[in-house]
Amino acid sequence: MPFRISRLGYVEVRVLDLDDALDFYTNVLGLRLVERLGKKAYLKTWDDQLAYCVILTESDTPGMVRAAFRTVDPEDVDYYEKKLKQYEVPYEVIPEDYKRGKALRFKTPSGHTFEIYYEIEVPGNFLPKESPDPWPRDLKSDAINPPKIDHTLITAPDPTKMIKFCEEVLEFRATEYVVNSDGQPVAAWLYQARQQPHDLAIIPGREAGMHHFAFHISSAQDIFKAADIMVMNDVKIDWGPGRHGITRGSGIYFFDPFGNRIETFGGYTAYLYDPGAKPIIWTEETMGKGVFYYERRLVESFLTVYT
Amino acid sequence: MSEVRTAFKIHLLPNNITFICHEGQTILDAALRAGIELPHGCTRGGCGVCKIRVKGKVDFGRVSRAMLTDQEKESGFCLSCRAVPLEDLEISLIDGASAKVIQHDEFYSFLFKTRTNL
Repeated sequence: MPFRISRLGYVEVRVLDLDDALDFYTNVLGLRLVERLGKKAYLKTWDDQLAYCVILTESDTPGMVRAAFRTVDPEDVDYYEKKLKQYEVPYEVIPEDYKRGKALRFKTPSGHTFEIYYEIEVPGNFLPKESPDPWPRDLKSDAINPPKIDHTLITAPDPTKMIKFCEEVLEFRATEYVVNSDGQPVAAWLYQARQQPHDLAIIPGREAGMHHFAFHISSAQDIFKAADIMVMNDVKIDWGPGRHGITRGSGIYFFDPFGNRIETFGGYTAYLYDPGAKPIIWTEETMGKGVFYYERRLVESFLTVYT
Repeated sequence: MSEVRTAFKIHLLPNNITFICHEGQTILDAALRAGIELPHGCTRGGCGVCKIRVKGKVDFGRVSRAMLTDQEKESGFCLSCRAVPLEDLEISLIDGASAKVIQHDEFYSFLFKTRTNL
């Protein structure tokens, strides 16, 4: 079966104050402001080819508004429209949005709003197309500057059902599962065409909850520099720098000024997942090490603290 | 010459402990510095894990409306990570249990008799 989704395209996240949010997301995290329009702001990472990867929306409650996945080809949107019909998933066709064309919008069994789209402006990254240097010269030296958005981890009241939905209807493949004593997956790490450890992950929790969204930071040097920048700016670090057993990724969990958890994620040492290979299994006994590899236990906040 | 700072007394039940909170300081920050382990999560008003009962006037701060509703504000709840006292307060955990208290002399604070968590 071909991959029909290329990657997590953008997330829309609610913030309590857009001015403070922009200060944090541009000056500390190092995203670039594409445009601010009223109560919304569109941002992108320096290496993102697409128009934007983060939308911040001012609201009275933090959390996720929507997660959007971009297809590999334009006709894949039609393919998913057929699949949504086949599985009787109610959906809307959104003809256009900011710098974006048609999207399918639907609610998942976990209560999240997902979109599938192809058409979006592709202005390119912040490097020239001809003979580029490896990174832009004007990166802010005291910002984190992740090159790309990586994945999101969301919570589901019935994670087994949500995992099945993502696999059957959206055709995500699993790299890793946590299974319960009946062998049922209760958490999953799911990937698409980029074949990185995950584009989307699901754990048990509240309806429509966002555990975190992540940006790629890979080298140990960059991870520790990111942690330095967090402390320099009084950013609350939730965990790390550390390593996950699941995905083998190294990262930092931290909070934006409104309690939305963000992760820097990368450095998944020699992680190669070949389609057709069996997913990795973690159990109730081993999942502590799976989530926080060095600590070897799950801290309560992993399952209770999110927006 | 020492600087005179306005401070409020916070009385924690059922522990029956009183600790000092300086003007502009959050309840959580003051408690943690006093060695009182109030529950907390994101510390940015988003996750709701630090919700406590409060008697007395506070500035609720910038918090998630889903995690602290207007009705909860009126019925004596606050998020300790954002709430700043405006007068002396009485607080307790949601379930009425005692909060865990770290004895300063037990470990590392023997140098300064204080600790920082945030």
